[in-house]
Parts: sequence; structure tokens; C-alpha cells
Amino acid sequence: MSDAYERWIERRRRTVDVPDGFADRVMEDAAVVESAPERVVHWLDRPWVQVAAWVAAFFALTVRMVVAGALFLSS
Amino acid sequence: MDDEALIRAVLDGERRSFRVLVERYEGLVFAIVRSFFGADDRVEDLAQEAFLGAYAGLAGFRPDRGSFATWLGQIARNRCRDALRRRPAVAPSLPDEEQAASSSSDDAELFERLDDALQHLPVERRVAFLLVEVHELPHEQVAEIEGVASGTVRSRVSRARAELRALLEPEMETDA
Repeated sequence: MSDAYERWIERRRRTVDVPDGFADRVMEDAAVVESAPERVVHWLDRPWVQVAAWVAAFFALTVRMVVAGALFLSS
Repeated sequence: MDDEALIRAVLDGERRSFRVLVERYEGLVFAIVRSFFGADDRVEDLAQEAFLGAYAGLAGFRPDRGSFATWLGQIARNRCRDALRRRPAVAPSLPDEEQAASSSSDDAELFERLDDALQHLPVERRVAFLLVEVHELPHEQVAEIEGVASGTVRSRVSRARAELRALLEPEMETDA
């Protein structure tokens, strides 16, 4: 490929410059983005779901023990 | 600090860590946007939109599916495609003052023809050519950003190069 081609490519490479202060402007706009990013917590991992699961498990176990006890006493 | 650690920090409330990511990848994003729009006045806005899109969607980034650079590149590419649909293709030309300063009179006419030929390439071929040949991104990264096979990128670059080389043939014959 000719030198002219290389010179043309080189000239195009010089257009990649990033404008001064670009990162500042991005950060200024990011500061007012309403939906600021937050870590996504799976619904099964939410604290209230965990507590409800433990309460439900405890309740189920209690009911089973009461029913088993009642059946035992009635036999 | 690597990209994943920075992303975790941003998600944990350290919003300023995003700046490091912006500074690390602004060159890549500008390279992608300029391959679509050249010196168009939309370039900076689109680059900014790409970063803000990444910022807002950071929680959805999955490191197991690819690098942050590729994910960000895909966002930039999608913004460019949307912008192209809203307002059709603009030639990826150079800023006037830079064009004047960097070209000798011998080259000027040839460069103009090359710029013109580049401008008339189909957008996929032009983007692949500029990202690989001018911005020196690896074929594989361009393939991931464009969502095509690496061979497709090679073929696009090769066809673009052949078309541009054809323009130079009379010039090379004259040199010889």
C-alpha cells in the first residue's frame, strides 16, 4: 500500500482526540440522573422475604408438631 | 483498580468511581461514535449519552458475558444506530482546520477522494474499517461490539481496504 494511504490513515487517527473536560461534563450529567445505579438485589434475597420465609417455616413446623402431638394423644 | 472493582464501588454508592471508567474508555467511545459520524456536531452528545446509558444501566452489566469495554461499546454503537435512524448518515469527515493543516497540496486532492470514497461505503463496512484500520481495535473486539463473527469484520475491513486501494492505483502507477 502506498505512502499516501499511510499518510491518510495517520491523518484520520488524529481525529480521535477527546474534547477537554469531557469526563467532567459526563459526571455533571450523571449527578442528576434520576435512576442512579444500585446493586440489583434478587427478590429472594430481600430481608423481609428472608424473615417471612423463616416465620413461615417456623409456623409450619409448629403446626406439624401440634398435629402430630394431637394424633399421638388421641391414639 | 480493575473495571469490575470500579463498577462494584459505583453500585455501592461511590459514584465518583465512574469517572475513572469514563477516563479509561472515552477514547474507545469517541472512536466508535466518530466512525459513524466523523466531525458531526452530534459526536460529543452521543458519546455522553453512551456513558450516561452505561451509568444508568450499570446494575445490568454482567461480567460473565463480556468485558465492560465491549458492553460500553455496544451501548455506544446502539446510540449511533438510533441517531442514524433519526437523522440519516453524515459523512465521517474531518474538521476543516485539521484537514487544511495536515494535508500538503499534493495529498489534498487524493485525501479528498479517499474521504469521499470512505463516506460512500456502506455504514457497516465503514465502521469496521475505521475501528480496525484507523483506531486499531482488535478484530475480535469490533466483532463483539458489532454483534457479528470476527470473520465478518475481517471481510468488511478487507473489502473496504480493497475499494480504497483501487482509488490509489493510478497514483501508485504514476509514482512507479
